[in-house]
Formats: sequence, structure tokens, C-alpha cells
Amino acid sequence: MKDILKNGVILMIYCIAAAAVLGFVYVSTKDAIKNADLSAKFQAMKAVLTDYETGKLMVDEKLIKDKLMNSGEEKVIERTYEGVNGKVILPYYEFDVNGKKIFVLVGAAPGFGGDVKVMVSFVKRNGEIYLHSIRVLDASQETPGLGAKIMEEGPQKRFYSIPQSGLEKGVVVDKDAKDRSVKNKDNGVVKTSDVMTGATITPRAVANAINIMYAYLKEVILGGEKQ
Amino acid sequence: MKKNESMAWYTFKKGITSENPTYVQALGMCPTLAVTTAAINGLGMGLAVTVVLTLSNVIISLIRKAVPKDIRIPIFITVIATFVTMIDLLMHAYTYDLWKSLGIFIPLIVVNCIILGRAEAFASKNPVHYAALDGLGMGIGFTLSLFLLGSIREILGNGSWMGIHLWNFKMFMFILPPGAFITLGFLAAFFKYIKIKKEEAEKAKAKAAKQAQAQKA
Repeated sequence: MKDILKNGVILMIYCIAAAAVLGFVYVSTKDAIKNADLSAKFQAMKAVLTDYETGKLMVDEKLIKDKLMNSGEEKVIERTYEGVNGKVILPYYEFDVNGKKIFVLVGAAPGFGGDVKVMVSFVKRNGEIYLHSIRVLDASQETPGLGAKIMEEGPQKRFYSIPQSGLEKGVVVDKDAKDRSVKNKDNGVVKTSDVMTGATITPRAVANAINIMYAYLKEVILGGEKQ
Repeated sequence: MKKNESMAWYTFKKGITSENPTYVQALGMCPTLAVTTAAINGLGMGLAVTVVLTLSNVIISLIRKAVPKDIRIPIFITVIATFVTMIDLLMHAYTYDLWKSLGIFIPLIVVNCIILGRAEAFASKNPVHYAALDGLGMGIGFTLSLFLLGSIREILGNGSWMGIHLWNFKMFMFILPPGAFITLGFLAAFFKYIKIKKEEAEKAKAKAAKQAQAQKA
């Protein structure tokens, strides 16, 4: 009994020392970690808000920073689209530029090894919504060399600019598009099979995430539906 | 250990060659097989393990006399987990991209059996400078092993090395789990072969020396 107590006290002393050290490291890296996370998000936002034809930002850089700084805590909302479970990760960001509205959303859908996280910019102009561009934020659970290629710009560019007609029909990758007569973006078909050989599941996850975010945009953000 | 080597040099060297954690001791197989899909991931994981291993070896050697035998394992794990959490926080703050690509494997360093293995088998029984050399040697051995494995898998499986494109010939199998086992198996066999050849050569040498001595007499 005495031995057990003695051992317990000794172990406790070690744990208290470890906790003190960790507390110190946590406090001293807290701001740097926050900055690293924010700067990663800022880079992604700048990327989706760039007009890829002219290479210029559609929104003032300072405005993006301001919105990002004052965006508050992250909140995950589970959503389902045609049997696929996905997530919308709030907050979303809204920008007003020369008569058009730009929405930036972050969402996720299951890929090969875990969630694939995608940031998407939707533009609403003259009552029409279209997908402007995407940036894959996290595909770290996908197979390197296969699914993880989605992190490269080439495969992501295949998703750029999907018109409302395509979004309404639901975005699919070309391998899943057997039932669509015309395989183009107006019909929601994104060709990825040539740039992502041997990996259909990962771009499919991106397509699912886009569908989930589009539904959320339409039903909740613009439709005024309660969450 | 050879007679003309110093103890310190041997302590450092054995982790890289004769007691290499990956190819000889077959320790820490989970991160070895999982992260070596590319050379850079192997290098990053290896360096993170080296830092944790060296630091935890030093601390465990320093406290080895103040650790009751019955609860030594929980105390070792506490020390190791503290260092891993520290590394995780520091990498998140200052090397964001590497932290992201190593993902789940950083927290898993806690249960990497090389680290607990060296703490129990070496650091808890030896003075601090030997413990540090042992940790460093084992860590470097592990890093080199992972780097070699990652390089071979990346070159064969993805036609690139350290992210530099080499050619378009790719065998996807090598970046998938079977490729990890196959490459590891061939490498382990290769190093074993070298070891056997070396031992045979030494034996032959010793025999020749003995015969020469006998002839002289």
C-alpha cells in the first residue's frame, strides 16, 4: 500500500512537470499557430478569388484579410447530398463587387482515406450563380501519387467555372457520367480521368463537396432556410 | 564491437549500421511503411523521430536514478509524449507544410517502439552522453532508412525524386502498401547479404592469420 502511494506521488510529480513544460510551449506557440492557420487560409482565399483569366484579384486584398480576421470560430455542419454525407465548414465569406456577389465556402466530403476539404468560390451575377474556382485545402489522407494529385493545380483547374445549369444537375466526374448525354460542364460533368489516372474517388469527393456547398448556398444562405 | 573502436563512436555508429532500427531490428514498422511514399516524407518523419529520440534519451538518462522500477514505463511514456506534443506544436507553428504532410504520424511518434525501446534498453541504464549518442545514432539510422525507402518508392512509383520529375515511367504499386512491403523486404535482404559477406570475409581473414601463425611456429 505504501509503495503504491509512493509510486503514485512520484508519477504525479513527473506529470505535473510535463504539464508545466507543455503549458509553457503551448502559450508561446499559440499565436504563431493561429497565424500559420490563418495565412494558409488566406492564401487559399486569395487563390479562389483570383480571376484566372487576368490573374488579378477580384476582391481587394485588405478586405479579404479583414473578413478573415473577424470571422469568429469555425463551425461544422453535417449535410447530405444524394446519399453522400459531407460537411459545410462555417463561417462562409460574402463579398460585394461591382454588382456581383461572391461567396466563399469551405466544405468536405469523404475521399479514399478521409475527408477531402475544399474551398469554393461561387459568383452570383444577374440572378445566375456559377462556380468560379476551387482550391483543395486538405487531401492528406489520399494516396500519394494517386489521389493526392488533387493538390496540384492541373486537376483542380478542371473544376473551374461550372455554370448554374451544371450545378443544378449536380457535379460529377466523367467516370460517373454514364447517364448524361452531353459530357460538358453545362451538364455538370468534369473531366478528370486523364489527369487523375487510377484515382476516381478523390475527384469524386471534390465533386460531392461542391454539390453539398452549392445546396447549402442555395437553401440556407440565399434561401433563408434555418439551420 | 571491434577492439580498436572507442565506446562513444560505437554507441553512435551501431544505430546506423549493425543495429539499424529498420533493417536489422525491424522496429517502428508502422510509420516506416506508411510515410515512405515520397523521399521528403521519409526525411521529415526521420528527423522528427531523431529529435524526439535524442531529447527523450537525454532526459530519461538524467532521471534514471530517480525513477522507481515499477513505474518506469509510464514515466518514460510521459517524457516521450511531452516531447512529441512539443514538436507537434512547434512544427504546426513554424513548418506548416511539413506538419500538414506528416499529419497523423507526428502524434504516433509517442508509440513508436524505437523510442520506448531505446529508453528502456539503453538510456535508462547508461550515462547521459552515451544516451544522447545512442539516440542520435538510432535516429540517423532511422532517418537514412526511411529516406532510402522513400526514395526508391518515389522513383519507381511516381517517376520523381524529392518532387523533381525524372521520367514518365510509373509503377503505381510502389506507392501503395504492397510496394512498401516489397521494397522493405528486398532492402532488408540486401543489407543482410552484405552483413553475411562481411562476416565471411572476416572469418576467412582470421583463419588465414591463424594458419600463418601456425606455420611460423
